[in-house]
Amino acid sequence: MSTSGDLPKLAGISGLLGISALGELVLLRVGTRTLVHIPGLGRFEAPISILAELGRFAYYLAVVCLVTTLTLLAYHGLRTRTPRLVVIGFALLGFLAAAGAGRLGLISAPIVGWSSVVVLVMVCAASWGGRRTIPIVFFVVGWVAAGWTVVGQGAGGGLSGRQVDGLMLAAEVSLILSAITVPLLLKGPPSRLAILAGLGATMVSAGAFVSGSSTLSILVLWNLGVPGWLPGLAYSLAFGSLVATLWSAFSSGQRSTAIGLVLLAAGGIGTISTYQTGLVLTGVLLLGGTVLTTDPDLTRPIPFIRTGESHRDLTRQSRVPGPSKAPTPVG
Amino acid sequence: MKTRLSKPAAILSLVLVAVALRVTDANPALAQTQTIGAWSVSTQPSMDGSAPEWQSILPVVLPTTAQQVTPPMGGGTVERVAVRAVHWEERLYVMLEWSDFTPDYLSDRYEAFTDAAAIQFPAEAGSEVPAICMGQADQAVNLWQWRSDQQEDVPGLPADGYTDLYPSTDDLYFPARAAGNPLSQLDRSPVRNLVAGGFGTLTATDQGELQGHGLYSDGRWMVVYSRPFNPSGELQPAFGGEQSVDVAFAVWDGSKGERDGIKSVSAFTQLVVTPEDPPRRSVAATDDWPAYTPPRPMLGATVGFLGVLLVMIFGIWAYLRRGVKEPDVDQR
Repeated sequence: MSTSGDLPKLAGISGLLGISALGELVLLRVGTRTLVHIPGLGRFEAPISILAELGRFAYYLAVVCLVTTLTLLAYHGLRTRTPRLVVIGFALLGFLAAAGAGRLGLISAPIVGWSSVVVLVMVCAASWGGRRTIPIVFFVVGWVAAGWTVVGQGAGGGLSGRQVDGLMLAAEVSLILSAITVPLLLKGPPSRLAILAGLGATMVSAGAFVSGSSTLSILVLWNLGVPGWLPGLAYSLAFGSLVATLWSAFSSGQRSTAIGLVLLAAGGIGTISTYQTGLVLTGVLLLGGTVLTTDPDLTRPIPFIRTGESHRDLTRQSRVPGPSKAPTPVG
Repeated sequence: MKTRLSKPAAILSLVLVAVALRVTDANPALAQTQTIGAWSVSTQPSMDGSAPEWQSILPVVLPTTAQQVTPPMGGGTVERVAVRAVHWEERLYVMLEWSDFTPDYLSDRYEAFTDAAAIQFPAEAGSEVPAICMGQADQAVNLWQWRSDQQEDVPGLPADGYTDLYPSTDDLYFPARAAGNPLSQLDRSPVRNLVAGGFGTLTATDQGELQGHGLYSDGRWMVVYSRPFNPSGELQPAFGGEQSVDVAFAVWDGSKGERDGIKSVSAFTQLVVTPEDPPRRSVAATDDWPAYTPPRPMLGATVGFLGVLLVMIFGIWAYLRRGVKEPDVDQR
């Protein structure tokens, strides 16, 4: 088994990737498109342009970090003799090659789409293990169902309208199930504070859905890639579950879980772009725990978090066999 | 000798590469949204969407949903729209087809609304698409809107329109026409060329050579749009290059009270002009809408995709787990 020395930069780059992807999501995809709801748009054109430019830079930084992260992960996987990591290494290399060739026009977009589906399924299968698999598999099934409406039709049709409807509904249901089961990714039950935050998020979003908020609808459509056919309460529960899990992951120093969730949220479901597909691939790898097996850097607690839960996690991680680079307790 | 980058140097390198990409607008990512092929044809396409030359082309079916972004919100009564596109002699033709059992030709009363359909393009190609509802301040959109009540061959409408009994022909007595209202012009087209840069900014622009024609038959609307590759004015996209063009669609069902923002909208997809011939099917023009029979291999693949997916996941997992006993993440 390789050591963390194989991937000295992975922890830092994945963190930077998470921050930049979140920045792109919040500033570019959400911010500039939500701010247009403000009456008297003309007066706000300059600040909106600045936000949009910051978001565009975050996008390009995220793309660079993503390519670097995927390359490092592929290199790392191929150097090991662990079958699952070798499979992941080849899968990631295949994705990078297909995305690059597609961008250069050497292969057609449908081939890139099919490659993305196959690679994600391979990575999901190779990351299989324990209860963490449940929300990941739900997410991947939803992603493939939504993606199938694109790769299944190609540029010349091939799916009927009813089939497209069925696939999108399957995608929505899977996505909701994934978000609701996402607390299984945590190493323990969510803290009380996290549960309260999740409940608060559920109530606020449910209230917004009930009142017919246009902003929430646009967020669901553009950021999750789903048309929003299910009752608003389903999305509210899913959102609350996600908030509680993220809160708990951050507050207990479960760095890879927190970053992985952010990457999945920024990636969305379905084949949208190779950038977002790459975010999903990286997110699935981080959440699946496969990377943790060989890279303790990623299990480091987040430095500015000083809670009792951090110590519990660290105690658990200190029992990990293998590399002796045990994380240093904080606080 | 092994050299290693320090952490700040590594981060700085990444940031510099990102800056270089931004400055050159070189987007390494590839869009993977639905692609609509604009295929090459050897004869001039008909403006009649029911013609076999159109109906034999495999359509791309796009789901549509209610417009939920800005008031007046709602719609969504049309669940899907089928799109076909071809090009001939540097001119793009797009045909939209959707189910509607109540054709609405007239908007001659306050409570009567017309059937309509629109195509939306970003005014300029960019690394990201604009807001789908009328674009945004720094990213305008170009729209082609067809309205059934603007066609000259509307059933039940006199040949000279709504003004057959008006005694005067002077513009003085037609203030809307005199003010330039595009809906009031005598030489109006059923398709209007519009631009917008956010809600409330929709504006008619130079009509150019944009053409369109709608036909209602057997419970379906079929509307054909046509425009030269090169635009006639600003804020309109050019076609025919190697780069794909983002495109979205909207449909209104007038008898369901749909007008303005109350409509069915698709997400942004991509239109790719290709030199290839269109994929065709050998079916009659009108026998299989809305759930036409897809090619058998694709139907089987679609029905079985979940099974294949699960088999792949379980298969790879079972293979990799043979004889390997790794600690669960939670138990390490």
